[in-house]
Amino acid sequence: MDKVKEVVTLCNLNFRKWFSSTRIKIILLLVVLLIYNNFSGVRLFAAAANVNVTPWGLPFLLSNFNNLIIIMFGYVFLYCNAPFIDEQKPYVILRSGRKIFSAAQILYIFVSSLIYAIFLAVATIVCSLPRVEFSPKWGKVFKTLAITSEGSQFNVALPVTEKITLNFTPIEAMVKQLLLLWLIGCFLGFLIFALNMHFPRFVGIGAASLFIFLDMFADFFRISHGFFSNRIYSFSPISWANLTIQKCNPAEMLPTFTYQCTVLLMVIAILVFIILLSFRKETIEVIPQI
Amino acid sequence: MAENIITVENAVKKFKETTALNDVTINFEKGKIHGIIGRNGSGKTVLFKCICGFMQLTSGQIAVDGKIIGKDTDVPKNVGAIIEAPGFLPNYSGFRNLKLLAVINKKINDEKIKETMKIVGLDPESKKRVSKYSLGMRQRLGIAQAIMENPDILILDEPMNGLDNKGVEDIRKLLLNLKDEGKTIILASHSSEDIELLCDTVHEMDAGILKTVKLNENN
Repeated sequence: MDKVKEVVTLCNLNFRKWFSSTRIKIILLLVVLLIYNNFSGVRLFAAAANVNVTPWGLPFLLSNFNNLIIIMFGYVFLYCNAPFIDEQKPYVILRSGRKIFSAAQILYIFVSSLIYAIFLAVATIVCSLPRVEFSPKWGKVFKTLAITSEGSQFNVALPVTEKITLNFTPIEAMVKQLLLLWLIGCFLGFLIFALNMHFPRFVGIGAASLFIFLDMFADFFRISHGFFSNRIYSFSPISWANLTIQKCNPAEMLPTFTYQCTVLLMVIAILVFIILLSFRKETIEVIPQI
Repeated sequence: MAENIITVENAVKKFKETTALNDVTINFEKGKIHGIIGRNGSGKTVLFKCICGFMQLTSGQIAVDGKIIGKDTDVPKNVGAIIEAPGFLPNYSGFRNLKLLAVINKKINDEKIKETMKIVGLDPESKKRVSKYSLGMRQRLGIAQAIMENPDILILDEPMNGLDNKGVEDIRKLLLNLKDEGKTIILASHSSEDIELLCDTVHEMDAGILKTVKLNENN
């Protein structure tokens, strides 16, 4: 029990550093600006129609690959300093030992990834204010934007797609969206962590960026190669944050939600295992923090 | 018979083409101050990092208090250290920074932290952020974090860096007091005065090779 408390204490130490980190502030600011921009048209549309917006905008935000890339780079910037060894940490490791320390950094990635995902969901609600109404349904705004072109009159940038409103209930979409975002964030964090332990930092950041750009490549590939090319999405984990890239009927050649979660959990488990194994012998090197 | 608290046997540490530690063998006796001198890049800090378990040796072994680093334990227990620049959270006061480290092992309470801060010449009640500290104050805080949990072994890499004359004098007295309490101190310093006044044994590191320079009978 004491060891669990120690892991939580050390994990908390990383969160304390958020308050003095310009990098974290910039990430959050950029993401809020992106969301604000996407939802400004929705707010105008809702005001003109005199109806309220339901708080289920996050799945639509991520169904556009430009938004998806920016949000995923938020994760890369969040974890670019992994394994988070600043000048204070050698003195922490001397007190905690390597095992507790590495476990704390792993916990930090799990928790911070979830916080980032929840932050995105909350930001979509805040950016819809003051016209927000809690309802278990998609609501008139999203339903209308999904099936008509009314949004174009109000420059609605948010890509509200019918595939999501037809195939998912709002709660189901939000739960799946948050779960996938969380797991993808963990995957990117652990990938950077594992690579940064053995190689210069640009390798970890580069590998994570490649996965993000794979999503863009998959989109181009689908457009140019047609129906069967959808199979490429099975190998692009970042794309799975986009719910429109999820198999909703048997005819679609897209990855299922179960497949996405299983693959992500397996890859995360392998990366965590590698990190725990490698960190036992790895040189504790202070990495200048970005 | 004198007891060795740290034993380094045929320690070799290589970085690609460079050999930072070249077959280093040395025993550090308990309850004494051991000085390590040598030019920048001679391998002093690498030796300290290996003793602290921050680096693995290419070959050879280091045992601290009978436990082999990397085999019996990943980092040595009961060791306080300053290696290179001590890092702290810039937005927190000195006291809060020390408390953050103290809560990991929960060996000491707030009173002990405050007492240690006073010993090194810092005001524990000050709300001043570490970002506003002078280099000397940061160094004093670094020494406080090394000694606050009353470790039996202290590994101090240039602890007088950034200190004014009064500060150097204070820390010298402190180190001699700690020695009298039975602590073992390994000290790297460029100051021949520190070495002369404080150390019982002096070893020189040159291009990864360690040789004993003198056994100081006066101390």
